[in-house]
Amino acid sequence: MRGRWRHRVDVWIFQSYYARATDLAVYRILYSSYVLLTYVPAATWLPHTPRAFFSPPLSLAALFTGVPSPFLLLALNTLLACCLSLLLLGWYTRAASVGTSLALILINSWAYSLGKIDHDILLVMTPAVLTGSGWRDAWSFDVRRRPTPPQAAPQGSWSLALLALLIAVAMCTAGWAKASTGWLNPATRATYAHLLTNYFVTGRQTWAAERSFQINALWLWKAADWSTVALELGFLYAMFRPRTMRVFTALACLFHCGVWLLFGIVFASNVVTYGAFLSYGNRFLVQRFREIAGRRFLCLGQLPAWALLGVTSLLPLTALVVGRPLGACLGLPLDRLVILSGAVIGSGYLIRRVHKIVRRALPLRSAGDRRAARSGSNRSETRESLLSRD
Amino acid sequence: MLHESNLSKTAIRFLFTAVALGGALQYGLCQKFGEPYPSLMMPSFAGAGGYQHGQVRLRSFTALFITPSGEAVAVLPRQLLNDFPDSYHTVIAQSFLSPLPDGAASSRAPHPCQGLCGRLFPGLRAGLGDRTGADNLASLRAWLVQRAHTLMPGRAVDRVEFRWYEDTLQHTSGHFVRRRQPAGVFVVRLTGEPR
Repeated sequence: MRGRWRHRVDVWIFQSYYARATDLAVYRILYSSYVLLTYVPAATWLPHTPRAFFSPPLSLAALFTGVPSPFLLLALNTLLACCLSLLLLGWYTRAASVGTSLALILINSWAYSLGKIDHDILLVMTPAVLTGSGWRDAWSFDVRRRPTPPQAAPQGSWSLALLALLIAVAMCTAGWAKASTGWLNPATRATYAHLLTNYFVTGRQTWAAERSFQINALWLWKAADWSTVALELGFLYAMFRPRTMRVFTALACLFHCGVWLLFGIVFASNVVTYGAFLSYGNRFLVQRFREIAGRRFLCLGQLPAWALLGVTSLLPLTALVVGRPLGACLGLPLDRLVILSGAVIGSGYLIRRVHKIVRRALPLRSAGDRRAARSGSNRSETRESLLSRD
Repeated sequence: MLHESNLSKTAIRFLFTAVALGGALQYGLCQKFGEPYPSLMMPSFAGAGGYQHGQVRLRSFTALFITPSGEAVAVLPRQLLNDFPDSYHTVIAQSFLSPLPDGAASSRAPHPCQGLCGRLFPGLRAGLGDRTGADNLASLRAWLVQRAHTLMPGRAVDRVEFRWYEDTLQHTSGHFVRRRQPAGVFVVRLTGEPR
C-alpha cells in the first residue's frame, strides 16, 4: 500500500510534467526580460520613507530598526540587474537563477517593511525553482560551453511539478482565507463589498466597476464569490494533473484579467509564472524560428559572452541611473500587456479544450475522425502528443 | 528521462516534502506573528468586506492641512501618499494615520515577541507598536512638512488632521446612498514654517 502511494507520488513528481528545452528557454528569456523592464530598480522610494512607517513583518528587514541606506538598495538592485542579464543570456544560468530569486527576496524584504506585502512570491521563486529544469539547455551561452548538445525531445521536469505545488499552496492560502471568513455564506456579497471599498476608498474607479454596480442580482455576485474560492482551492487538485493544471492556469489568467477590469488591480506577476507551463509553438515553428534567429543571431553568437553581457547590462543600468524601471520610462504598459496576453492565450486554450470535448461527445463524426479517434484511444499518450495538444 | 540535475531523487522528494511541511510552518507563523516574508501566500481579501444586510460599511479618511489662520485645505489620500506605490496607500493610512485607540494620547504596545525573538527582530512591527514615540513622531512631522511644501507651496501649515469616517453605502434605485459618521481624528502638529 505504502509502496503504491510512493510510486504514485514519484510518477507525479518525475513523470507527469514534460517540457521541451526550447519552451523553457523561451520562457527564461520572457521572464528575465519582463523582470528587467518592470522591476529594476525596485524600492527606490524607500530611503525617503519616514521612520514612523517602518513596521516590517517577520522578515529580514525586521532584523533592523530602520529603512536601509540608498547605497544598500543600489547594491541590491545592481545585483538583481546582473543576475537578470545573465539569465537573459543563459550564461551561468544556474547561479543567475538562484541569484535572481535571492536578490528579489532581499529587495522585497525591504520594500515590504512598511507592512504591506504585494504577494509576488511566485514570480520571485520561479527562477530558483526552475534552476534544474533545463531552461538553460537552449538559446543560451551555457549550451555553447557544453560538450554534448541537450536533447530536443520533451523531457520530464520535476521543477514544473514543484512550481505547480508552490502555486497550489499559495492559491490555497487565499482560498482558505476566503472560505473560512464568510465568502461561502449565501447571505453575503464579499466580491461586491470589496469592489465597493476598492472603488470608493482606494479610488480605483474603473468603467467595468461602474457598470457592474447596476447589477443587483444576488446570485451573480454570490457566483463570483463561490467561483473565486473554487478556483483558488481547486489548484490543490489540479496540480496533480498537468492538463488540469493548464486549465486552471488558463482560468486564473481570465480571473486576473477580470480583477484588472473590475478592480483596476494589475496583478501580472502570477500570469508571468503561469507562462512556465506554456508550450511556445509547435516543433515546426520552433525550428523555423531557430533558423531565422540563427541567421540574425550569427554575428551576436560569435561575440564573446562578456561583451553581450555588457550590452545587455546597459538596459538595467540605464534604469538604475534614471531611477525608474525601463518599461515605465518608455511608457510601455507591460503589466497590462501580460494580463491581456494571458487572457487571450488562456481563453484560446479553453476554447480548444471545450471544442475537443464537444467533438468527442458528438455522435456524428466523419469516418476519418472515427478512425483517428480509434487509433488515438488505442495508443497510449506519448509525451509528444501531450505537448502538441496542450 | 529527466532534465540534467545534480539532485538525487531522494533530495528532490525531500524538497517536495519540505514545501508541504513549510506550508504548515507558515500557517503557525501567521497565527503568531502575522504574515511573514517570504511566505507562500496570495492576497486573501478575507472577510465579507463589510457587507451586512444589503449595506456595505467602509472606513475612509480625509487629510486636512490647517493653516495658522484656521483655513483647512483638504488633500486626497492619493495625493498625500503619492511617494509610495498605489498598493501601499490603504495599509499606510490604516496603520499609521488612523486615530489612536479610544482617543489615547500615546500608543505604546508591547513588542510582538519577547526574549530572544524580540532581541533578534527589534524592528518587527516597530512603527505600529510605538506610533507616538519621539523618533517616529518627529519623522512623521518632517514628512508632513515636506508634503505640505510640495502640495501647498509657500503656505504655512499649523497642523494636519486625519479625519476618519465610517461610511455606510446602500444601492437603491440605481444609485448609492451614503451615510457618513465620524470615526475619530488623528492630529499631527507641525511646528514652524514649512521649509
